[in-house]
Amino acid sequence: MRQFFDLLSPKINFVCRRYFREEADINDAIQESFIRIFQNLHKYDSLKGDIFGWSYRVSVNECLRILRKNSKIEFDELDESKVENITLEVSNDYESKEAMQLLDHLEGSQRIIFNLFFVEGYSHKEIGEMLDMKEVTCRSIYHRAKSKLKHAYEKLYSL
Amino acid sequence: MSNKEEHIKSLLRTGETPIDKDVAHDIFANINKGLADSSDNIRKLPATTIWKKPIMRWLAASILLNIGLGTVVFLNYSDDKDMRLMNGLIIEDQPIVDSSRTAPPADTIHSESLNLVSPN
Repeated sequence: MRQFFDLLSPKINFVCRRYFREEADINDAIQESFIRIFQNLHKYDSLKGDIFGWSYRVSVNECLRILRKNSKIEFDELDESKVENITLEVSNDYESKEAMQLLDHLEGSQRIIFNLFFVEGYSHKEIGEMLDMKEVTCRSIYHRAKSKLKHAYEKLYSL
Repeated sequence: MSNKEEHIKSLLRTGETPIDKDVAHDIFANINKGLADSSDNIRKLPATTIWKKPIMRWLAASILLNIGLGTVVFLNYSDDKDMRLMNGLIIEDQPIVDSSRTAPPADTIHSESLNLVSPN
């Protein structure tokens, strides 16, 4: 069990860091993720994918559960007409740590929706259902998040 | 999604951040505690209604008391935990039947078995 934890914890830590900023929240999410993983280990089906992918998904779900439970998902009203097409680009030698630092420029719903759409690959419709919000609002928040990241990147590297 | 965006997505998806050793130690201890607590919750499940009926417990105990040829088993259902053990809600290393105890005199078996029906 300890070996499994040591092997997996850097990955789960990274997942939780994408959704939370405060160390205490991150550690709670890691802890709850592992409890959920160990409790449901018997449900893991090796034919459906590797154990890392399964654990990753359990952890993402646990982060969302905590966020919902703590009501940390707040939505601001957005002007949907201002959605623009933004391309997020970083240099090829950009590393995970730097990408994570960039992500720290996002807070609340922007951070969550950016993660769910951009990283996890959920559709706006699915995210809307998950977070009980309109699909179009979700789309707007995502584009605002993307725009914020683009500006943050340009500012960091004085482009 | 452009190649550049795929690159960021990959970075954010596959990255790892090691946990500080002391923090990992604490988290692991908490995970163990959390797992133990959830296990305790299972143990706290109430026994099924049928076992709450004294007559059913007395009947089951009487049957068990007569198991084996010439061997009188002695059960001690002194608390609810043992009752739940019998009900299959708790799986422990403890033997259900303590056969090491000597058989009581025949005329006391009935009264011993009656003890089973009054765990409280």
